[in-house]
Amino acid sequence: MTDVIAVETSVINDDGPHAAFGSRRSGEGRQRLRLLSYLVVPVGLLVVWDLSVRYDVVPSTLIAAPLDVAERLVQLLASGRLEHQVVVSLARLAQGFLYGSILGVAVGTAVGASPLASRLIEPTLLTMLPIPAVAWVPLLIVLFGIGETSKVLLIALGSFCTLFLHTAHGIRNADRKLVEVAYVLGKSRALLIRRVLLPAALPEIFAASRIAMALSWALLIVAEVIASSSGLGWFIWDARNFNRPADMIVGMIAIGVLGKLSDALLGQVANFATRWRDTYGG
Amino acid sequence: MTAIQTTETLERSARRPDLLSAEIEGKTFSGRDRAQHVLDRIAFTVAAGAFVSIVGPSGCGKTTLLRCVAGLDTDYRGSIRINGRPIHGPGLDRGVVFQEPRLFPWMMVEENVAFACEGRADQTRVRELLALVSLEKARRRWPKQLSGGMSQRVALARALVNLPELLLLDEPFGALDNFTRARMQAELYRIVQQKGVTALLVTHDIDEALILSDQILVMEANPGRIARIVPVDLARPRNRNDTGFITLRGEIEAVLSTC
Repeated sequence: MTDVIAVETSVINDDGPHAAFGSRRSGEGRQRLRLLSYLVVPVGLLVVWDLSVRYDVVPSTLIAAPLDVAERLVQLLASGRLEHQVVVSLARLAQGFLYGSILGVAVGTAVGASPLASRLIEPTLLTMLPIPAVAWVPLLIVLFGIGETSKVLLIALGSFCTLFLHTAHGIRNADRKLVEVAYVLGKSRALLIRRVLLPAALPEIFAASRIAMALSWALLIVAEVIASSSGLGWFIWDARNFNRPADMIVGMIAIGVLGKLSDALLGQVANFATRWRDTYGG
Repeated sequence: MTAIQTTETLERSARRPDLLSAEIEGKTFSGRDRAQHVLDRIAFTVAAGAFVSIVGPSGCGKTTLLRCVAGLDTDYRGSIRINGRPIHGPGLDRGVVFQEPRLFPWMMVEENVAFACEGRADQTRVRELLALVSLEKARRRWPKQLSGGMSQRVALARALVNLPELLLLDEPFGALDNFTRARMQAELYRIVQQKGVTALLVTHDIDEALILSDQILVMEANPGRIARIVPVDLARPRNRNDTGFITLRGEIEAVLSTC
Protein backbone atom coordinates (compact mmCIF):
# COMPACT_ATOMS: atom_id res chain seq x y z
CA MET A 1 0.00 0.00 0.00
CA THR A 2 2.65 2.50 1.04
CA ASP A 3 4.71 1.33 -1.93
CA VAL A 4 2.03 2.28 -4.40
CA ILE A 5 1.74 5.76 -2.96
CA ALA A 6 5.49 6.27 -3.14
CA VAL A 7 5.58 5.25 -6.79
CA GLU A 8 2.73 7.59 -7.67
CA THR A 9 4.27 10.67 -6.08
CA SER A 10 7.60 10.01 -7.75
CA VAL A 11 6.00 9.76 -11.17
CA ILE A 12 4.22 13.03 -10.68
CA ASN A 13 7.29 14.76 -9.35
CA ASP A 14 9.42 15.40 -12.34
CA ASP A 15 12.62 17.40 -12.14
CA GLY A 16 12.39 21.17 -12.14
CA PRO A 17 11.37 23.52 -9.38
CA HIS A 18 8.78 21.13 -8.04
CA ALA A 19 11.39 18.46 -7.34
CA ALA A 20 12.24 20.05 -4.04
CA PHE A 21 8.76 19.27 -2.74
CA GLY A 22 8.85 15.60 -3.82
CA SER A 23 10.01 12.58 -1.87
CA ARG A 24 13.66 11.67 -2.18
CA ARG A 25 14.45 8.41 -3.94
CA SER A 26 17.62 6.85 -5.22
CA GLY A 27 18.85 8.55 -8.41
CA GLU A 28 18.64 5.47 -10.60
CA GLY A 29 15.16 4.50 -9.48
CA ARG A 30 13.93 8.01 -10.08
CA GLN A 31 15.46 8.06 -13.52
CA ARG A 32 13.67 4.85 -14.47
CA LEU A 33 10.35 6.14 -13.19
CA ARG A 34 10.84 9.36 -15.08
CA LEU A 35 11.34 7.49 -18.33
CA LEU A 36 8.29 5.38 -17.56
CA SER A 37 6.14 8.45 -17.00
CA TYR A 38 6.96 9.64 -20.49
CA LEU A 39 6.11 6.28 -22.08
CA VAL A 40 2.87 5.31 -20.36
CA VAL A 41 0.46 7.24 -22.58
CA PRO A 42 2.01 6.70 -26.07
CA VAL A 43 2.65 2.97 -25.49
CA GLY A 44 -0.84 2.58 -24.05
CA LEU A 45 -2.37 4.21 -27.12
CA LEU A 46 -0.37 1.96 -29.44
CA VAL A 47 -1.57 -1.13 -27.59
CA VAL A 48 -5.20 -0.02 -27.70
CA TRP A 49 -4.87 0.82 -31.40
CA ASP A 50 -3.27 -2.53 -32.24
CA LEU A 51 -5.80 -4.55 -30.25
CA SER A 52 -8.79 -2.77 -31.73
CA VAL A 53 -7.58 -3.45 -35.31
CA ARG A 54 -6.54 -7.03 -34.50
CA TYR A 55 -9.92 -7.90 -32.96
CA ASP A 56 -11.90 -6.01 -35.60
CA VAL A 57 -13.32 -3.42 -33.24
CA VAL A 58 -12.60 -1.07 -36.16
CA PRO A 59 -12.66 -2.45 -39.73
CA SER A 60 -9.09 -3.50 -40.60
CA THR A 61 -9.70 -2.73 -44.26
CA LEU A 62 -10.08 0.96 -43.44
CA ILE A 63 -7.72 1.37 -40.49
CA ALA A 64 -4.15 0.03 -40.62
CA ALA A 65 -2.48 -1.70 -37.69
CA PRO A 66 0.58 -0.05 -36.07
CA LEU A 67 3.06 -2.54 -37.55
CA ASP A 68 1.70 -2.08 -41.07
CA VAL A 69 2.06 1.67 -40.64
CA ALA A 70 5.66 1.28 -39.47
CA GLU A 71 6.45 -0.92 -42.47
CA ARG A 72 4.88 1.58 -44.85
CA LEU A 73 6.77 4.44 -43.20
CA VAL A 74 10.08 2.71 -43.86
CA GLN A 75 9.12 1.98 -47.48
CA LEU A 76 7.98 5.51 -48.18
CA LEU A 77 11.11 6.99 -46.63
CA ALA A 78 13.36 4.61 -48.56
CA SER A 79 11.72 5.49 -51.88
CA GLY A 80 11.95 9.23 -51.11
CA ARG A 81 8.23 9.71 -51.77
CA LEU A 82 7.45 10.93 -48.26
CA GLU A 83 10.42 13.30 -48.26
CA HIS A 84 9.17 14.82 -51.50
CA GLN A 85 5.78 15.64 -49.99
CA VAL A 86 7.47 16.99 -46.86
CA VAL A 87 9.64 19.37 -48.86
CA VAL A 88 6.68 20.66 -50.87
CA SER A 89 4.61 21.23 -47.74
CA LEU A 90 7.41 22.84 -45.73
CA ALA A 91 8.12 25.30 -48.55
CA ARG A 92 4.48 26.46 -48.54
CA LEU A 93 4.39 26.59 -44.77
CA ALA A 94 7.63 28.55 -44.40
CA GLN A 95 6.73 31.09 -47.08
CA GLY A 96 3.22 31.70 -45.77
CA PHE A 97 4.32 31.85 -42.15
CA LEU A 98 7.22 34.20 -42.81
CA TYR A 99 5.41 36.62 -45.13
CA GLY A 100 2.38 36.75 -42.87
CA SER A 101 4.35 37.10 -39.65
CA ILE A 102 6.68 39.80 -40.91
CA LEU A 103 3.80 41.84 -42.28
CA GLY A 104 1.79 41.21 -39.11
CA VAL A 105 4.60 42.50 -36.89
CA ALA A 106 5.14 45.53 -39.14
CA VAL A 107 1.48 46.53 -39.26
CA GLY A 108 0.96 45.67 -35.58
CA THR A 109 3.90 47.91 -34.67
CA ALA A 110 2.57 50.80 -36.73
CA VAL A 111 -0.90 50.46 -35.25
CA GLY A 112 0.43 50.08 -31.71
CA ALA A 113 2.86 52.98 -31.90
CA SER A 114 0.97 55.51 -34.02
CA PRO A 115 -2.54 56.76 -33.27
CA LEU A 116 -2.87 57.84 -36.89
CA ALA A 117 -2.03 54.38 -38.23
CA SER A 118 -4.42 52.94 -35.68
CA ARG A 119 -7.27 55.17 -36.86
CA LEU A 120 -6.54 54.39 -40.49
CA ILE A 121 -6.15 50.62 -40.31
CA GLU A 122 -7.43 49.18 -37.08
CA PRO A 123 -11.23 49.40 -37.43
CA THR A 124 -11.11 47.71 -40.83
CA LEU A 125 -8.76 44.96 -39.69
CA LEU A 126 -10.68 44.29 -36.49
CA THR A 127 -13.84 43.87 -38.54
CA MET A 128 -12.19 41.38 -40.86
CA LEU A 129 -10.45 39.44 -38.10
CA PRO A 130 -13.48 37.44 -36.94
CA ILE A 131 -13.74 35.86 -40.40
CA PRO A 132 -11.93 32.52 -39.98
CA ALA A 133 -9.01 32.14 -42.37
CA VAL A 134 -10.66 29.02 -43.82
CA ALA A 135 -13.60 31.14 -44.95
CA TRP A 136 -11.21 33.00 -47.25
CA VAL A 137 -10.47 29.85 -49.27
CA PRO A 138 -13.21 30.30 -51.92
CA LEU A 139 -12.30 33.95 -52.49
CA LEU A 140 -8.57 33.16 -52.67
CA ILE A 141 -9.22 30.44 -55.23
CA VAL A 142 -11.42 32.75 -57.30
CA LEU A 143 -8.73 35.45 -57.19
CA PHE A 144 -5.53 33.41 -57.50
CA GLY A 145 -6.58 30.03 -58.82
CA ILE A 146 -5.53 26.76 -57.22
CA GLY A 147 -1.79 27.27 -57.61
CA GLU A 148 0.86 27.90 -55.00
CA THR A 149 -0.13 31.54 -54.52
CA SER A 150 -3.50 30.90 -52.97
CA LYS A 151 -2.05 28.30 -50.56
CA VAL A 152 0.78 30.54 -49.41
CA LEU A 153 -1.63 33.46 -49.09
CA LEU A 154 -4.04 31.47 -46.94
CA ILE A 155 -1.26 30.55 -44.50
CA ALA A 156 0.07 34.13 -44.58
CA LEU A 157 -3.39 35.44 -43.78
CA GLY A 158 -3.64 33.31 -40.64
CA SER A 159 -0.16 34.28 -39.44
CA PHE A 160 -0.76 37.93 -40.23
CA CYS A 161 -3.93 38.18 -38.15
CA THR A 162 -2.38 36.47 -35.14
CA LEU A 163 0.80 38.53 -35.17
CA PHE A 164 -0.90 41.80 -35.98
CA LEU A 165 -3.18 41.55 -32.94
CA HIS A 166 -0.50 40.49 -30.49
CA THR A 167 2.20 42.88 -31.70
CA ALA A 168 -0.13 45.86 -31.39
CA HIS A 169 -1.13 44.70 -27.93
CA GLY A 170 2.47 44.07 -26.88
CA ILE A 171 3.57 47.52 -28.03
CA ARG A 172 0.72 49.23 -26.21
CA ASN A 173 1.52 47.21 -23.11
CA ALA A 174 5.10 48.53 -22.94
CA ASP A 175 6.02 50.05 -19.58
CA ARG A 176 5.22 53.77 -19.66
CA LYS A 177 8.11 54.45 -17.28
CA LEU A 178 10.62 53.05 -19.75
CA VAL A 179 9.11 55.07 -22.58
CA GLU A 180 9.59 58.12 -20.37
CA VAL A 181 13.28 57.30 -20.01
CA ALA A 182 13.68 57.24 -23.79
CA TYR A 183 11.89 60.60 -23.91
CA VAL A 184 14.21 62.11 -21.30
CA LEU A 185 17.17 60.84 -23.30
CA GLY A 186 15.85 62.67 -26.37
CA LYS A 187 15.42 59.53 -28.50
CA SER A 188 13.71 59.78 -31.87
CA ARG A 189 10.46 57.98 -32.54
CA ALA A 190 12.23 55.42 -34.74
CA LEU A 191 14.71 54.62 -31.95
CA LEU A 192 11.92 54.46 -29.40
CA ILE A 193 10.16 51.84 -31.52
CA ARG A 194 13.27 49.84 -32.36
CA ARG A 195 15.03 49.86 -29.01
CA VAL A 196 12.18 50.15 -26.52
CA LEU A 197 8.71 49.29 -27.84
CA LEU A 198 9.59 46.29 -30.00
CA PRO A 199 11.83 44.61 -27.41
CA ALA A 200 9.10 45.18 -24.84
CA ALA A 201 6.61 43.44 -27.13
CA LEU A 202 8.98 40.61 -28.02
CA PRO A 203 7.75 38.04 -25.47
CA GLU A 204 4.20 38.46 -26.71
CA ILE A 205 5.31 38.43 -30.35
CA PHE A 206 7.03 35.09 -29.84
CA ALA A 207 4.10 33.59 -27.97
CA ALA A 208 1.89 34.69 -30.88
CA SER A 209 4.28 33.27 -33.46
CA ARG A 210 3.89 29.82 -31.90
CA ILE A 211 0.12 30.10 -32.14
CA ALA A 212 0.53 31.32 -35.73
CA MET A 213 2.74 28.32 -36.52
CA ALA A 214 0.12 25.88 -35.24
CA LEU A 215 -2.53 27.70 -37.26
CA SER A 216 -0.26 27.62 -40.32
CA TRP A 217 -0.09 23.83 -40.18
CA ALA A 218 -3.86 23.61 -39.99
CA LEU A 219 -4.30 25.98 -42.93
CA LEU A 220 -1.61 24.21 -44.95
CA ILE A 221 -3.41 20.88 -44.65
CA VAL A 222 -6.78 22.47 -45.43
CA ALA A 223 -5.34 24.14 -48.54
CA GLU A 224 -3.69 20.93 -49.70
CA VAL A 225 -6.77 18.80 -49.09
CA ILE A 226 -9.03 21.23 -50.96
CA ALA A 227 -6.93 21.93 -54.03
CA SER A 228 -3.58 20.28 -54.58
CA SER A 229 -1.79 17.39 -56.17
CA SER A 230 1.18 17.38 -53.83
CA GLY A 231 2.09 17.93 -50.20
CA LEU A 232 1.23 16.10 -46.99
CA GLY A 233 -2.41 17.23 -46.96
CA TRP A 234 -2.93 15.91 -50.47
CA PHE A 235 -1.03 12.74 -49.49
CA ILE A 236 -3.37 11.77 -46.65
CA TRP A 237 -6.48 12.70 -48.63
CA ASP A 238 -5.26 10.72 -51.64
CA ALA A 239 -4.54 7.77 -49.36
CA ARG A 240 -8.10 7.85 -48.13
CA ASN A 241 -9.54 8.15 -51.65
CA PHE A 242 -7.55 5.17 -52.94
CA ASN A 243 -7.92 3.17 -49.76
CA ARG A 244 -4.32 3.08 -48.58
CA PRO A 245 -5.00 3.14 -44.82
CA ALA A 246 -1.33 2.81 -43.81
CA ASP A 247 -0.27 5.76 -45.99
CA MET A 248 -2.93 7.92 -44.43
CA ILE A 249 -1.54 7.36 -40.94
CA VAL A 250 2.06 7.76 -42.12
CA GLY A 251 1.11 11.20 -43.46
CA MET A 252 -0.53 12.11 -40.17
CA ILE A 253 2.53 11.02 -38.23
CA ALA A 254 4.76 13.13 -40.49
CA ILE A 255 2.56 16.17 -39.87
CA GLY A 256 2.59 15.58 -36.12
CA VAL A 257 6.36 15.15 -35.91
CA LEU A 258 7.12 18.16 -38.12
CA GLY A 259 4.59 20.30 -36.27
CA LYS A 260 6.21 19.42 -32.98
CA LEU A 261 9.68 20.15 -34.38
CA SER A 262 8.69 23.54 -35.80
CA ASP A 263 7.15 24.52 -32.47
CA ALA A 264 10.20 23.37 -30.53
CA LEU A 265 12.44 25.36 -32.86
CA LEU A 266 10.39 28.53 -32.37
CA GLY A 267 10.40 27.91 -28.63
CA GLN A 268 14.21 27.72 -28.62
CA VAL A 269 14.54 30.90 -30.67
CA ALA A 270 12.09 32.65 -28.34
CA ASN A 271 13.96 31.54 -25.22
CA PHE A 272 17.21 32.84 -26.60
CA ALA A 273 15.82 36.14 -27.88
CA THR A 274 14.10 36.89 -24.57
CA ARG A 275 16.76 35.49 -22.24
CA TRP A 276 16.84 38.85 -20.44
CA ARG A 277 13.44 38.14 -18.93
CA ASP A 278 13.22 37.59 -15.21
CA THR A 279 10.58 34.89 -15.15
CA TYR A 280 9.56 31.89 -13.13
CA GLY A 281 9.97 29.60 -16.13
CA GLY A 282 8.14 26.66 -14.52
CA MET B 1 8.44 85.72 6.79
CA THR B 2 8.86 83.24 3.99
CA ALA B 3 9.45 85.99 1.48
CA ILE B 4 12.24 87.54 3.55
CA GLN B 5 13.96 84.20 3.99
CA THR B 6 13.82 83.55 0.26
CA THR B 7 15.40 86.86 -0.75
CA GLU B 8 18.11 86.44 1.86
CA THR B 9 19.09 83.10 0.46
CA LEU B 10 18.94 84.40 -3.06
CA GLU B 11 21.44 87.09 -2.16
CA ARG B 12 23.66 84.60 -0.46
CA SER B 13 23.91 82.35 -3.50
CA ALA B 14 24.19 85.23 -5.94
CA ARG B 15 27.95 84.99 -5.69
CA ARG B 16 27.90 82.02 -8.06
CA PRO B 17 25.99 82.25 -11.35
CA ASP B 18 22.60 80.57 -11.32
CA LEU B 19 22.36 77.44 -13.43
CA LEU B 20 18.67 76.88 -12.75
CA SER B 21 16.03 79.44 -11.96
CA ALA B 22 12.44 78.39 -11.52
CA GLU B 23 9.44 80.63 -11.16
CA ILE B 24 6.23 78.67 -11.15
CA GLU B 25 3.16 80.75 -10.43
CA GLY B 26 0.97 77.71 -10.23
CA LYS B 27 0.22 74.24 -11.43
CA THR B 28 -3.08 72.43 -11.15
CA PHE B 29 -4.05 68.87 -11.84
CA SER B 30 -7.55 69.01 -13.23
CA GLY B 31 -9.56 66.17 -11.78
CA ARG B 32 -13.03 65.18 -12.96
CA ASP B 33 -15.00 67.49 -10.71
CA ARG B 34 -12.43 69.81 -9.17
CA ALA B 35 -9.01 71.14 -9.96
CA GLN B 36 -6.27 70.37 -7.47
CA HIS B 37 -3.70 73.00 -6.71
CA VAL B 38 -0.34 71.20 -6.67
CA LEU B 39 2.24 73.94 -6.91
CA ASP B 40 1.78 77.53 -5.81
CA ARG B 41 4.17 80.44 -6.25
CA ILE B 42 7.37 78.44 -6.31
CA ALA B 43 10.50 80.47 -6.87
CA PHE B 44 14.04 79.31 -6.33
CA THR B 45 17.42 79.23 -7.99
CA VAL B 46 20.21 76.72 -7.98
CA ALA B 47 23.75 78.01 -8.32
CA ALA B 48 26.13 76.21 -10.67
CA GLY B 49 27.95 73.46 -8.81
CA ALA B 50 25.56 73.44 -5.86
CA PHE B 51 23.84 70.44 -4.34
CA VAL B 52 20.25 71.33 -3.50
CA SER B 53 17.61 69.08 -1.97
CA ILE B 54 13.86 69.35 -1.80
CA VAL B 55 12.20 67.82 1.25
CA GLY B 56 8.58 67.82 2.27
CA PRO B 57 5.64 65.67 3.25
CA SER B 58 4.28 63.25 0.68
CA GLY B 59 1.83 64.95 -1.65
CA CYS B 60 3.51 68.34 -1.37
CA GLY B 61 4.38 68.28 -5.06
CA LYS B 62 8.12 67.77 -4.80
CA THR B 63 8.18 65.05 -7.45
CA THR B 64 5.90 67.16 -9.65
CA LEU B 65 8.30 70.07 -9.27
CA LEU B 66 11.23 67.87 -10.30
CA ARG B 67 9.28 66.59 -13.31
CA CYS B 68 8.66 70.18 -14.36
CA VAL B 69 12.38 70.91 -14.17
CA ALA B 70 13.10 67.70 -16.12
CA GLY B 71 10.74 68.87 -18.84
CA LEU B 72 8.46 65.86 -18.41
CA ASP B 73 5.64 68.11 -17.28
CA THR B 74 5.17 71.36 -19.19
CA ASP B 75 1.65 72.17 -18.07
CA TYR B 76 2.22 74.96 -15.53
CA ARG B 77 2.11 78.73 -15.35
CA GLY B 78 5.52 80.30 -15.06
CA SER B 79 8.94 79.62 -16.45
CA ILE B 80 11.92 77.44 -15.69
CA ARG B 81 15.27 78.58 -17.04
CA ILE B 82 18.57 76.85 -17.40
CA ASN B 83 21.46 79.22 -17.96
CA GLY B 84 18.85 81.86 -18.65
CA ARG B 85 17.12 79.92 -21.43
CA PRO B 86 13.56 78.76 -20.79
CA ILE B 87 12.97 75.02 -21.15
CA HIS B 88 10.14 73.51 -23.15
CA GLY B 89 10.80 69.81 -22.71
CA PRO B 90 13.48 67.31 -21.76
CA GLY B 91 17.03 68.04 -22.80
CA LEU B 92 20.47 66.51 -22.56
CA ASP B 93 21.60 69.41 -20.34
CA ARG B 94 19.67 67.55 -17.62
CA GLY B 95 20.17 63.97 -16.49
CA VAL B 96 17.39 62.24 -14.58
CA VAL B 97 17.52 59.40 -12.03
CA PHE B 98 14.08 58.15 -11.08
CA GLN B 99 12.81 56.50 -7.96
CA GLU B 100 13.04 53.11 -9.68
CA PRO B 101 16.18 52.30 -11.71
CA ARG B 102 14.10 52.02 -14.93
CA LEU B 103 16.79 50.07 -16.74
CA PHE B 104 15.82 48.49 -20.04
CA PRO B 105 15.65 44.80 -19.13
CA TRP B 106 16.65 43.70 -22.66
CA MET B 107 19.90 45.64 -22.61
CA MET B 108 22.93 44.61 -20.65
CA VAL B 109 24.37 47.08 -18.12
CA GLU B 110 26.82 48.41 -20.68
CA GLU B 111 24.15 48.73 -23.38
CA ASN B 112 21.84 50.61 -21.03
CA VAL B 113 24.49 53.27 -20.50
CA ALA B 114 25.59 53.25 -24.15
CA PHE B 115 22.00 53.67 -25.37
CA ALA B 116 21.82 57.00 -23.53
CA CYS B 117 24.66 58.50 -25.53
CA GLU B 118 24.28 56.47 -28.73
CA GLY B 119 25.31 58.44 -31.78
CA ARG B 120 26.34 61.38 -29.65
CA ALA B 121 29.40 60.61 -27.65
CA ASP B 122 32.51 58.55 -27.79
CA GLN B 123 31.67 55.07 -26.51
CA THR B 124 34.79 54.98 -24.35
CA ARG B 125 32.91 57.28 -22.03
CA VAL B 126 30.58 54.39 -21.25
CA ARG B 127 33.48 52.46 -19.74
CA GLU B 128 34.62 55.51 -17.86
CA LEU B 129 31.18 56.04 -16.33
CA LEU B 130 30.85 52.38 -15.38
CA ALA B 131 34.21 52.66 -13.66
CA LEU B 132 33.02 55.77 -11.87
CA VAL B 133 30.09 53.86 -10.34
CA SER B 134 32.34 50.80 -9.73
CA LEU B 135 30.45 48.52 -12.07
CA GLU B 136 33.10 47.66 -14.65
CA LYS B 137 32.85 43.98 -13.79
CA ALA B 138 29.07 43.91 -14.16
CA ARG B 139 29.02 45.48 -17.59
CA ARG B 140 27.94 42.29 -19.36
CA ARG B 141 25.16 41.49 -16.90
CA TRP B 142 21.42 41.73 -17.46
CA PRO B 143 19.48 44.11 -15.20
CA LYS B 144 17.70 41.10 -13.67
CA GLN B 145 21.05 39.98 -12.26
CA LEU B 146 21.67 43.22 -10.34
CA SER B 147 20.85 44.18 -6.77
CA GLY B 148 18.82 47.31 -6.04
CA GLY B 149 21.91 49.37 -5.25
CA MET B 150 23.74 48.21 -8.37
CA SER B 151 20.71 48.97 -10.56
CA GLN B 152 20.52 52.50 -9.20
CA ARG B 153 24.26 52.96 -9.85
CA VAL B 154 23.70 51.97 -13.49
CA ALA B 155 20.85 54.48 -13.64
CA LEU B 156 23.23 57.12 -12.27
CA ALA B 157 25.88 56.27 -14.87
CA ARG B 158 23.22 56.48 -17.58
CA ALA B 159 22.07 59.88 -16.34
CA LEU B 160 25.64 61.21 -16.35
CA VAL B 161 26.93 59.78 -19.61
CA ASN B 162 25.74 62.76 -21.67
CA LEU B 163 27.63 65.08 -19.30
CA PRO B 164 24.57 67.03 -18.16
CA GLU B 165 24.97 70.29 -16.30
CA LEU B 166 22.14 69.48 -13.95
CA LEU B 167 21.47 66.11 -12.35
CA LEU B 168 17.88 65.55 -11.21
CA LEU B 169 17.27 62.82 -8.66
CA ASP B 170 13.81 61.74 -7.54
CA GLU B 171 14.16 59.81 -4.29
CA PRO B 172 16.75 57.59 -5.95
CA PHE B 173 17.63 55.65 -2.80
CA GLY B 174 14.13 55.38 -1.37
CA ALA B 175 13.86 51.65 -2.05
CA LEU B 176 17.28 50.72 -0.65
CA ASP B 177 18.10 49.40 2.81
CA ASN B 178 19.72 51.80 5.30
CA PHE B 179 23.19 50.39 4.90
CA THR B 180 23.19 50.52 1.10
CA ARG B 181 21.58 53.93 1.17
CA ALA B 182 24.33 55.43 3.30
CA ARG B 183 26.97 54.01 0.98
CA MET B 184 25.14 55.27 -2.10
CA GLN B 185 24.86 58.76 -0.60
CA ALA B 186 28.60 58.95 -0.08
CA GLU B 187 29.19 57.63 -3.58
CA LEU B 188 26.71 60.05 -5.13
CA TYR B 189 28.44 63.00 -3.48
CA ARG B 190 31.86 61.82 -4.62
CA ILE B 191 30.64 61.41 -8.20
CA VAL B 192 28.84 64.74 -8.29
CA GLN B 193 31.97 66.46 -7.02
CA GLN B 194 34.23 64.63 -9.43
CA LYS B 195 32.01 65.48 -12.42
CA GLY B 196 31.42 69.05 -11.23
CA VAL B 197 27.72 68.59 -11.86
CA THR B 198 24.94 70.56 -10.20
CA ALA B 199 22.40 68.38 -8.40
CA LEU B 200 18.77 68.73 -7.44
CA LEU B 201 17.58 65.91 -5.20
CA VAL B 202 14.04 65.15 -4.09
CA THR B 203 13.85 63.14 -0.89
CA HIS B 204 11.59 62.55 2.09
CA ASP B 205 14.60 61.72 4.24
CA ILE B 206 15.78 64.84 6.14
CA ASP B 207 19.08 63.23 7.10
CA GLU B 208 19.81 62.39 3.48
CA ALA B 209 19.19 66.00 2.51
CA LEU B 210 21.39 67.25 5.35
CA ILE B 211 24.26 64.92 4.52
CA LEU B 212 24.36 65.87 0.85
CA SER B 213 23.12 69.40 0.36
CA ASP B 214 24.44 72.93 0.33
CA GLN B 215 20.87 74.12 0.51
CA ILE B 216 17.53 72.53 1.37
CA LEU B 217 14.15 73.65 0.06
CA VAL B 218 11.52 72.68 2.61
CA MET B 219 8.10 72.32 1.02
CA GLU B 220 4.64 72.32 2.53
CA ALA B 221 1.55 70.67 1.10
CA ASN B 222 -1.90 71.82 -0.05
CA PRO B 223 -0.96 73.77 -2.02
CA GLY B 224 2.68 72.87 -2.61
CA ARG B 225 4.83 75.81 -1.60
CA ILE B 226 8.36 76.39 -0.50
CA ALA B 227 8.01 76.94 3.25
CA ARG B 228 11.65 77.77 3.83
CA ILE B 229 15.03 77.63 2.18
CA VAL B 230 17.64 76.30 4.61
CA PRO B 231 21.33 76.79 3.81
CA VAL B 232 23.52 73.98 5.15
CA ASP B 233 26.93 75.33 6.09
CA LEU B 234 28.30 72.22 7.76
CA ALA B 235 31.77 70.84 7.15
CA ARG B 236 32.05 67.68 5.07
CA PRO B 237 32.01 64.73 5.48
CA ARG B 238 29.02 65.24 7.67
CA ASN B 239 28.08 63.32 10.75
CA ARG B 240 24.51 62.74 11.83
CA ASN B 241 25.49 63.21 15.47
CA ASP B 242 27.14 66.63 15.19
CA THR B 243 25.45 69.40 17.10
CA GLY B 244 25.11 71.56 13.98
CA PHE B 245 23.52 68.65 12.13
CA ILE B 246 21.08 67.97 14.93
CA THR B 247 20.16 71.64 15.25
CA LEU B 248 19.40 71.92 11.52
CA ARG B 249 17.41 68.70 11.57
CA GLY B 250 15.34 70.11 14.43
CA GLU B 251 14.80 73.32 12.52
CA ILE B 252 13.56 71.50 9.41
CA GLU B 253 11.36 69.19 11.46
CA ALA B 254 9.85 72.24 13.12
CA VAL B 255 9.04 73.79 9.75
CA LEU B 256 7.52 70.53 8.53
CA SER B 257 5.41 70.04 11.64
CA THR B 258 3.71 73.40 11.19
CA CYS B 259 2.74 72.72 7.57
